[in-house]
Amino acid sequence: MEEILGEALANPLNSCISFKGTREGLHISLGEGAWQDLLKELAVQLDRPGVQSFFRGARVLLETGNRAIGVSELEELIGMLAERQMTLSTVLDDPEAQNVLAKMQASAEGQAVPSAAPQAAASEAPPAAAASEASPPAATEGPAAAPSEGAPAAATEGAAADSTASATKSSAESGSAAGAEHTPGSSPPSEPTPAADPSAAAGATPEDQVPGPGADKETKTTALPPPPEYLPMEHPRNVTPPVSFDDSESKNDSSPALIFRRSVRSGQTLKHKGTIVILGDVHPGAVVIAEGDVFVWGRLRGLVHAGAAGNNSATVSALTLAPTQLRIGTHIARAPDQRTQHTSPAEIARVRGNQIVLEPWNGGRI
Amino acid sequence: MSARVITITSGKGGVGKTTTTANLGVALARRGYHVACVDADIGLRNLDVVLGLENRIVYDLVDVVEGRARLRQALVRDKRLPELQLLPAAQTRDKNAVNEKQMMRAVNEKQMMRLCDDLRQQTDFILIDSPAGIEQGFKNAIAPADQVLIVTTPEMSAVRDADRIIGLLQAAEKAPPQLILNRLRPSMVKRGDMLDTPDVLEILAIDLIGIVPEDEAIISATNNGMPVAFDGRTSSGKAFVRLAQRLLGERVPIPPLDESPRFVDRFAKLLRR
Repeated sequence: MEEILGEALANPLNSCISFKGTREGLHISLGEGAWQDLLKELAVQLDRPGVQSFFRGARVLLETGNRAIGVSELEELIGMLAERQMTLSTVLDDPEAQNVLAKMQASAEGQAVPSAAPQAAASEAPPAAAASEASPPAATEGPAAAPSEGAPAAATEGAAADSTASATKSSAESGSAAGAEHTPGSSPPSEPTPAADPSAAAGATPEDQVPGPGADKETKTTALPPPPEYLPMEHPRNVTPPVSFDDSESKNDSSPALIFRRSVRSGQTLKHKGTIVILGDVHPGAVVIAEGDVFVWGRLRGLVHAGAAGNNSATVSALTLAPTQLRIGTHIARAPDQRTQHTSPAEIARVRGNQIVLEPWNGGRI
Repeated sequence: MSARVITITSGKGGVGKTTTTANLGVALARRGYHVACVDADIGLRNLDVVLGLENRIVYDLVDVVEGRARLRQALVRDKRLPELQLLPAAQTRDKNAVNEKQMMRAVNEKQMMRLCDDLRQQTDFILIDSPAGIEQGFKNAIAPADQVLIVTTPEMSAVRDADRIIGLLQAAEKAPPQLILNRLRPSMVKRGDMLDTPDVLEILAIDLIGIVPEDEAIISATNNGMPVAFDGRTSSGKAFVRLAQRLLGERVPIPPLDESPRFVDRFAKLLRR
């Protein structure tokens, strides 16, 4: 259970296929090897216990690794992913295959689903890229964009999305459920979030920014299984009302929480695939990496990365939250040079809009 | 007699491990205890220099470990203080044996344990001066330890290294170490230019066993091979004596920080007359 690992956690997904959770979805890049071998290998990787349920419903961004993919090969892959309830959303480095894929998607859904293009643009950006981060798929669900190499369209939509309230982002980032966390208990599901409304420009319709109904609509109009926008890394709070109580997806939290009953000291690294709870301090120079949330009943002074697989809805909480560096999903923040006095009993860090914000804990759920 | 083995370590170099070892050794020996100081810093020995015993070394730790000398032959007795003995480190061999051949010959934890077991029979205290770093030399030094003292200075880098060491000791399932805060400058602390004791303790979260103020006397003492604990009149000498008393289980409070009443106070006294 306790794993203080000397250096890096050995990548369990070795081989020529690498997986990376990003805000756009599951990033799979293929290495050397024959196509059939790769497919087999991929299937093996995806069917590993825990992984399978973990990735269910994920969108896949494929990096082909300088390989031209034919239509049949593409279909094969889509079929294989579909068996695992995953959808191929984008082929990143093969424009032709991407075109084919876009056509397939268009014909399958009757209506153009343009999420591909902006994602392609976004994937070029470094993980922690700030303002120019392309719009998340939920915001581009509108009718305007076509499934072309539409970088400009993506950019403007991205801007529109950025200018709207953070509701856009948070709904996009963690699927339908995350919206609940953003406005805890405030707005009933049927009502568009007021904050998101006024500046919602051409591409992004207000509906899309309201998690509940938007997600519902999508479900009805698409033939494919309803794709949650991002990796369904589930957290208990993601099933908070008002969105829905349907927590079928939240059952697939592959790893139980790790409870670590002492301090993590300089030079020590604590890694875990799920949520980490530390009963002790995290000293400067220590590293804590969790794919879920991080809770520290003590002082957090080291480096912490929550949602390390790309889950931007993860949170970091500590009695004293003063990390040297704080990473959540794809975001990075460092401690301010001037340390402020902590007055609240505890603090929570989470991604709001496009940055990590620290909030005092005022009771209630995290 | 079965000695208590105390290892003095720090992670970072130059924070005063050797000085602390020498002075604790002197202070304990002056109380009548038989003390053996072991220099585990093979290749960079200097405990002998600090103790002023350099010119009397015939055999060293590696000779003993490799069977070229008996322990009795290698131990250097301090003429000024017969209770104090030194087991010097070898000067010639590298503490990080690089290739396998060297590895075979380098000292390992087992040998160190055996050595200390032999030493235990004839002393009350074994003080092991650990090398800086976290490599084999460090492992050798902590392997036989019953108690570990961590020396740090009020600098972020030293404190960070100390924290690392504490973590390694935890991993090695040693009893929680105690902290010696060395080279503290009360005037700088007062100005807020130096980490204060609570700051350091907050980071390291271990027990403090002593504070040693920065003292010029240390430098001349080292150069003369006459540790400050010998006469115990300097501020640092007093601090080391108190530290030794605490090691013996006596309840000696850590005095409040104060630059020893020097110029300003004396001047004030003059004025008051």
